[in-house]
Amino acid sequence: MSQGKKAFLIGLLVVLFAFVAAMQVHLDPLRAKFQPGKVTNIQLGTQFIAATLIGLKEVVGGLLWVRTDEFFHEGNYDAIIPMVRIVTWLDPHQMNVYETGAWHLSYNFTDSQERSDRRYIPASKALLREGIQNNPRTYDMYFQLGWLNFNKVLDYAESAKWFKEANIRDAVDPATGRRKTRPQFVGHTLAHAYENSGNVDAAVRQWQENIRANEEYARRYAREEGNQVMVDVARNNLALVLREKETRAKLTPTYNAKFEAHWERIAPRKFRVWGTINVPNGCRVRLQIADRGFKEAFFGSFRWDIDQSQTILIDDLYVRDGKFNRTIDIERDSAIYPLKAEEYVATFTLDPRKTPREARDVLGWMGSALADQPYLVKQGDARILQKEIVLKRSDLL
Amino acid sequence: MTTWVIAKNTLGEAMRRKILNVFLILALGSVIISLTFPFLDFRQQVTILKSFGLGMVQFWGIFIAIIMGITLIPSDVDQRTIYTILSKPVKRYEYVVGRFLGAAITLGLNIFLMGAAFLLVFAVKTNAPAFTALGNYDFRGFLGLWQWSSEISGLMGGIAMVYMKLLLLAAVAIFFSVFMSMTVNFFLSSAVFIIGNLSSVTESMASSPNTAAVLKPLYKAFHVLVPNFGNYDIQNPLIHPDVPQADIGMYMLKAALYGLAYTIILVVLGVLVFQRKEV
Repeated sequence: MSQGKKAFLIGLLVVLFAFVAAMQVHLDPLRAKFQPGKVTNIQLGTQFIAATLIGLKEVVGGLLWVRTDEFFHEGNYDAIIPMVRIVTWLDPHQMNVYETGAWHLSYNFTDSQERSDRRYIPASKALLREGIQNNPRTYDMYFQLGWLNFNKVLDYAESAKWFKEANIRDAVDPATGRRKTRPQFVGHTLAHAYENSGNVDAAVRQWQENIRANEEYARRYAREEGNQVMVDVARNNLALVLREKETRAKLTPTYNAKFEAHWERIAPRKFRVWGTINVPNGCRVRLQIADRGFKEAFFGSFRWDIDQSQTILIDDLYVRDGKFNRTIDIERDSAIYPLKAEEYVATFTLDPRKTPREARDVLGWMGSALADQPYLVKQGDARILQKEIVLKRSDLL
Repeated sequence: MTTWVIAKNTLGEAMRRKILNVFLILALGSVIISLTFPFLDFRQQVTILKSFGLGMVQFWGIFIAIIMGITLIPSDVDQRTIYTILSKPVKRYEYVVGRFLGAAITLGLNIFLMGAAFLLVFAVKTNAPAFTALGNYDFRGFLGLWQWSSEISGLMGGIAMVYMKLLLLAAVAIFFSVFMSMTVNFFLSSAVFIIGNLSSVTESMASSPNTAAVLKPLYKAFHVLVPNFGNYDIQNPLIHPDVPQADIGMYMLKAALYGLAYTIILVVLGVLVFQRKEV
């Protein structure tokens, strides 16, 4: 080979090396868009296990998820959350893994009296937010975050925010993987969230929109059974809300619920709470016992290493014949309720927005019928009843 | 022209080699066996089928690329056919380039066959009612029920990415084969492949605040200079049709350009080294 040709080839090599280096720098940020692990908090990518070298990430993820299901049925709950982390890391588009993982975190770590460990709620929310970031185009993850706030946290305004996002997105047909219109219960749940948050006008508009959307859905998917039922449900609910809006608008702030709540220590880590409240049967007074100054943590990214020193207990006390009464026994639950703080606040709350329909007929959507009385607290437009009792650590131990 | 003759000969030799045919048969078997996954719901079955299919094409393709790459030139030296070839009016660069082109065509043919089997399995799986109709000799029903899945074009893109990845791997193996023994080359090429797949680690190290400032440029240089096989690891959005894929075509084109440029580098380097080699 002549010197000229050799010099040409070496020059070509230099140019090509410069090209591939520049191209690699250009590809690095683009690559993150198409590879799993985009918004997980494991920064080093998914290449650490041998199977990923041959592109079997989703297979490994699917098989691990089958194994996770076995853990659940064996009662090995502690093993599940790390598995959720690994499976969503391997395949961030398996939405049922986020959904099941968040459900598990929110509901299944319970104390001896079946109260869930509330310290996992921020982790659950963070997992669902990650699910949303990785699956932003379908309704599923938005709905799940809305449902967590609706059913567990009872923050209806927050749930309405997420249901609203869900209600503008499509679903994926599980049988074919093709896109289809989201299920009709999404719009219905959004309307219920508006009702429960006291946003009555938005609820009315949503029920009207639901009727239109449900009719269209029933026409489009005429072969599916039960679609007409959703239209009928939406019509009935609209009529109900309009009737309630009219009758509850007439309520005046004259109702005295005669609310009182008490706390009594029975033994170490065992106490009785009781009280009176003049509201219909079926209402629940929410009891929260937490470290003084407790604030729910915010997890910017999904992790499950909760603050083990925090104490937060929430229980809903059933009201019957104007009374509520419960013995709280946390003797065997020192891991969930470590009682490390010096002071605690026991808060008894009756929020009209979280009461059954018949109670809201008496109290109003947002408690507008509640007269000025002891323990009346105003939260924005809402009027709630709330009593706080400050407790020392020695009161509980 | 000479280059093309050598390439055609390389293809013929490769197709006669039993070990490559065994890998091809194993690959086809692996793809077809994925039809039998019975667990999970249908959507998850399809997800696993797609991942498994693309994974198997890649898995067996790795063996084909490495085994072929490490043996092409050393076997000519061992069997002394290199003397016969170079004693004719064949330039050394024509020999190296011809061997490489032959390997690229062989690899392409293997990937094509494996990919076609995978797509056929996918089409069968997603058109089960149509095949049931066919089983009942209802040809009209078969045609009526058959649905062309829009996902197939995405999967074809995935197979093309696997080919580009393995072409680069074959180029690595052929480059090392110019001056390494087969055994050493097998481990060296495999190591380069693994390191190339781990390049996101070096990328993270280069940008991590915990990395010493003096090491950052080293990691960065390592990251951009080692062939980055991880660039082709994009099967996830192809497997999930509901994931945004707006720019994926452009990304694939750029990744292919990257691979092509790196492959040319390795072939040119191979030519330069082979010029100085005593045979």
